[in-house]
Amino acid sequence: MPDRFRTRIAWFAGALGILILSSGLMIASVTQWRLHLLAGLWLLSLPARRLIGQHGTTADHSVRGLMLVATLGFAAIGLQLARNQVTQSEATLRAVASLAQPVAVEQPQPIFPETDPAERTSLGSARTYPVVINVGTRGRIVDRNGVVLAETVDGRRTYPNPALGHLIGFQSRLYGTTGLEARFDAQLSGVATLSPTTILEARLLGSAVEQVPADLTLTLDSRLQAAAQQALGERAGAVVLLDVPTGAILAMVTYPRFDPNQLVLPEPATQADVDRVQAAWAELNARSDAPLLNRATQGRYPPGSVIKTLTAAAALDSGVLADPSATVTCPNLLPTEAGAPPVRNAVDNLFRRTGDPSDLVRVYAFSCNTAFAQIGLSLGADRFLEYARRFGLQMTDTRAGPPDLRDIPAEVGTIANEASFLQRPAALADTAFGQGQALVTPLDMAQMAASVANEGRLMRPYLVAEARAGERVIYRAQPETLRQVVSPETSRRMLDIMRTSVEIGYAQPIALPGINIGAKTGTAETPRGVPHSWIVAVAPVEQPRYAIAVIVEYGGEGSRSALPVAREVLAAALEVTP
Amino acid sequence: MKRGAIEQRWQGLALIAPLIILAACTEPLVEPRAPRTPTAVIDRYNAIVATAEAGDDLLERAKAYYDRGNIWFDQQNYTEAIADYDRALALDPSMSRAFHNRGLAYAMLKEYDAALRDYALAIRLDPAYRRAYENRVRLLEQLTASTPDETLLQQLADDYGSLAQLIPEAEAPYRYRQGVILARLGDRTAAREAFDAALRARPQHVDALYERALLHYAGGDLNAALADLDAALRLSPRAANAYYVRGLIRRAQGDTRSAIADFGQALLLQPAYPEALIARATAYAEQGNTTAAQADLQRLDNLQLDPTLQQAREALRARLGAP
Amino acid sequence: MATIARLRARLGGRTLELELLITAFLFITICLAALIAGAGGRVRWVDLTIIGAFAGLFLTISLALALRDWGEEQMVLPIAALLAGIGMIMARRLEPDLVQRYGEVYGGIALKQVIWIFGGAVLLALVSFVPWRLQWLKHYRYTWLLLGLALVGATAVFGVERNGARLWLSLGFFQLQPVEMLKVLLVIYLATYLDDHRALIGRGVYWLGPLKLPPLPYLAPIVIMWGATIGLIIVQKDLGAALLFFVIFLAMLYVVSGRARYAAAGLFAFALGAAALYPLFGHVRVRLNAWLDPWSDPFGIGFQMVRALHALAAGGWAGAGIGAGDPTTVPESHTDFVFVAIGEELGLAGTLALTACYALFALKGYLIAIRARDGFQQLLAVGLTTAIAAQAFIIMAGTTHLIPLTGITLPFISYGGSSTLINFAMVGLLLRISASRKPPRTL
Repeated sequence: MPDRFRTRIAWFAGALGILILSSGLMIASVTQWRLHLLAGLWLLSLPARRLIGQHGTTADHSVRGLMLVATLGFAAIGLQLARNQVTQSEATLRAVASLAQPVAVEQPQPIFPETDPAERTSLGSARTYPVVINVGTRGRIVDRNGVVLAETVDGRRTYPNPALGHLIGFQSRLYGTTGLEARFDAQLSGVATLSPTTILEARLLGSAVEQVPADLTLTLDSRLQAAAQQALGERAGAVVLLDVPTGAILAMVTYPRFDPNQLVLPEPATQADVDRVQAAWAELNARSDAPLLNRATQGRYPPGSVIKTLTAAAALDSGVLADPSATVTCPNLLPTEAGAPPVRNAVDNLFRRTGDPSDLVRVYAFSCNTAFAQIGLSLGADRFLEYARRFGLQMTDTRAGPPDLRDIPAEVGTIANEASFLQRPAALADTAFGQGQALVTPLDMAQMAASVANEGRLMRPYLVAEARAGERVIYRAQPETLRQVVSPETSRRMLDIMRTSVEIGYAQPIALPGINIGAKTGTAETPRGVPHSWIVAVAPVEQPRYAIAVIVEYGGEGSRSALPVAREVLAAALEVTP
Repeated sequence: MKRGAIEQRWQGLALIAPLIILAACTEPLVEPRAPRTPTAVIDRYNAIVATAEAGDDLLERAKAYYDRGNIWFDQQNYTEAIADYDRALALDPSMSRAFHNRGLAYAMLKEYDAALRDYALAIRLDPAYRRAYENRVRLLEQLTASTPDETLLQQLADDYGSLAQLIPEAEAPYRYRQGVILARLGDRTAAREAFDAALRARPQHVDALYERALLHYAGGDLNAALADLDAALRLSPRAANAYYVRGLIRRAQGDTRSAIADFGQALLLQPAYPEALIARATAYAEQGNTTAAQADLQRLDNLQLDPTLQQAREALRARLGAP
Repeated sequence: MATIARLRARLGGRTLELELLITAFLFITICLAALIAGAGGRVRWVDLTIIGAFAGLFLTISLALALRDWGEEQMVLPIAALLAGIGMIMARRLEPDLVQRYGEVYGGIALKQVIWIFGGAVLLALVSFVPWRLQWLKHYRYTWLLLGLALVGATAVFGVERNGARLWLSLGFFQLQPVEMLKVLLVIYLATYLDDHRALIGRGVYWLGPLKLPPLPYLAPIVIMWGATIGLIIVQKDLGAALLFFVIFLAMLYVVSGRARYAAAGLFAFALGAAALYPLFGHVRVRLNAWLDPWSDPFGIGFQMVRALHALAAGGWAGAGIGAGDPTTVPESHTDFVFVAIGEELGLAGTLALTACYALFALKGYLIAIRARDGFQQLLAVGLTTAIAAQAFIIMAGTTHLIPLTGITLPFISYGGSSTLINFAMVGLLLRISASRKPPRTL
């Protein structure tokens, strides 16, 4: 018994000795320490095993074994803690400090990613060079006679004619680029004179590019533009003057308008300049009369009686009316369908002027609503719609394509909100003489007049004739026939009808000495009560050169406000004294 | 019976208690605390410094300050770290590591001039001090990323050269990087040499092949450029940009058909690749295939383009006629 | 009168638990006071409410146990309460530092932990007081087995990946860690199985060449368990859970068979399996290399271990004091490495005390097993105790660099919902097993 006791003491002492001695091992010898710990605990377990005893069931015995294991295990953790926190703590602290590469720096990145070349989707440093195309040397914009409309002076874009903001737009560091400046930016900056691959090469290799800024020549005629501006004066509205054979825009006026110069910052700009430009921009945007809107291409108005030109052309072209002398009546009232109010003329007893029965020429000249309602109904919704489409008017719910004019922002005129609308007789009758849902731009109406006058061909309207970089022409507009709207025969008949409207009808006041003019006035009802005043006209009838459309917002009857404007502009264009 | 009732009552309470507590927790449990420096660790190092100060071994004292500086650094207190490195360097001005670490600390404080000065001192003391080069390279990369300063770029190129010499197993990547920087500096001859060295160390370094091809291309040696690109594409048949560049070169050589095939391959590998689209559309336009060119132009509408690419697109539009 | 006397007698029989609980609350209150004093000294209602509710909840449970008078073990509950309280304090102490260092995702962990602890205590009360029979655990063995398999399957299919391991099931409001659930289900099922096959001891030994193999009812589960745990390592990359499950199994097998060499052979086989995986699997290799010499790559694989050793060393004898250290430099300081955080702030004194607490818990748990009423309950107690003790050992030894680090929570202290809830449920089961005077109908 004492012997066994002594053995146990020896084991115990040995274990303690191993543990105490080895706890001083350097931190680098941690494996050695772990082995010593294991050995020490094993030695400790030998005497401790005696404590378990043999009493109880096997299971109890085993559980006591587990208790011993748990005790020794947690004792091991205690010893490990003593080593970590006391005997080796200073060494650990020094070792961490001496790692010398402070940890806060990003983890040493794998500088050399050993990707399999076959897996690579992109090679090289992916470096690109910025390609600077100097905006200081920007091309000029001139009218058809070379009158400068936009140029860069001392690095600053200036617009000598301040009334063309709605066409030319502006190039502003604060508010971007608009109008022709935006649409033809590539030509004006000279980018268009470069091959795309030259730019790509410069981007890839840093090589130099040499672009030549191009000058734009417009179809606009400054003289006619000034005349139109003068004629419209300071009334809200728009004037569009087209060259009939080509579709070129000769004059395009809108009012109210804005001066693009006030939106351009000088270089270098002071804070005062910035404030001034910002104030001007804020004021333009805050105004309720929308000076930034180009009414000639973006203003959508009810067409009023000018649309009768379309209805008449459709009736003749489709054969619904055999010829201009075909019999048409002009009753005071025309019932269309049950429950709908009957169509009524603007003045009662109009048949006294048109005659009873009358013909197409006279009902057009005196703008008889009931007559055109009947013509519309005879055409039927499908045929009427087909002709509206040919003239470029679409349906709001199924806009078929972009506007014909590409050079500046424009809106597409619409004949109705949806096709089903015209299936109702009352709606078809209304639309045929100029009421209903139709909303058109002045440009649409000018195009209508021009195509009727141009042997039935609808031309694409355009504003930029060519872009020229030095001696090189890099862009030239070609007159483009969009489609044959009506036959040349119909065109001739319509010109006669329109001329008669001037000779005997409401459009009489437009007459100019020595010139035959064809025209149609229009009075479009507005919710406000005062109607919009419209006119479309072509001249000279024998060989039409000019087509014009004028709208004066809330200008009253067509012959009163719009007609004198058109007359003045045509007089200027035809160079006659009114 | 009665005992059951008591039990139930206790159970009810035990269930309700947490709900009451949750209701009480209208204010956050832990208040946000201002950043603070934990001092306990530093206290241990202060003790080590004090022990060293008591002795008269200068080097031992320097080492103690240096150690504590590292711990300050670790705690992101760079000002204190720099102060300790200063003390260590005053005692032992040959501690290249202290210079290096001080440079790192200055870099963390965004005092880049001081950082570069310290790195230079560390490297002068120990010209084979790899870590110092690596950290200087990292700093220089960062500094030259936005503003390409020529002196710094030259320094960066030199450092990559030094690293390439110091670490032979990494010569190829470092020479390649050196070449890229030299090319950026516009020194084509030196860049060529660097890429040559990279390719000598590792002939299948596809990036170096690609970059050298760009150098040849810029220098007008289109055949050499094609040879390098062919080699790169043999190794990396999925590298879209290599196809794109090869297409550009072939177009420049007048081989529009092959160019279109290369652009097509690039677009197959990377469908949203505006450069390749513009290049292919241009090539189609040159072939007279306006329809295909228009189709590519339309695909561009769905991609984000930077100003240069927008200009290239405008040039393409102008070339295709319609404004 | 007689009732009051009886009640008083009952309360008198359970003073130890009460005293220990009050001591634990005192300790936690002092820790909280130190924390508040260090942070500026403003005492707020929410702190008082929580500490009051914490004390109230556990005292209520203790009083209820006393009134019921089933004679449960008295030291288990106070130890669990003390550890959970320390966990609560640590979550509260670490939250602002974690938020500052790693971002807002760590906001609110203190409050969440309080809620988990209260939820755990309620769960414990439910297990203890809701009338049910321990035998049910045995009767519905296949339900538990199926539930466990379903959990494993669901995790494999719907699990959420974090740190490259798919160990979480998202339940919307919180993410369940099915491994914790699995732990209890495994103990219950093993207890049932081993108790059923107890009679086969010593029979059916057969020889495979020179090797004497254990009887099939033992051999089969050994092989299956070994395969399952190795599979766990390969598929879920969860070394800690694998080791824990295997240790639980070996301990229960040892108790049933009485043969230490089965357990030793099992451990050897596990080591062999891990060694075989070493060259094949990156995560095993990283763990082992980080254990063998963290200093060789102090910013890579050894980063966490070096940080942990530094924090422990910075703690020293007495620690920096609660709230005065910088324990969040060690990643995962609120979950796996919470022991290191305690080591830095409470020093060797604190860590040794904690170790002693776990050791005491283990010893008490095994004593419960020895006194258990039948073989099934004994095995259950052994399994539950081993689960908690082994888990504590694995993570404490791992974070102190004694054995390779395997990610697993420190029972009761680590932040985490699943782990806290399940651990309290396990304590509830242990208490139920230890009830020496429970009426026979509740067996």
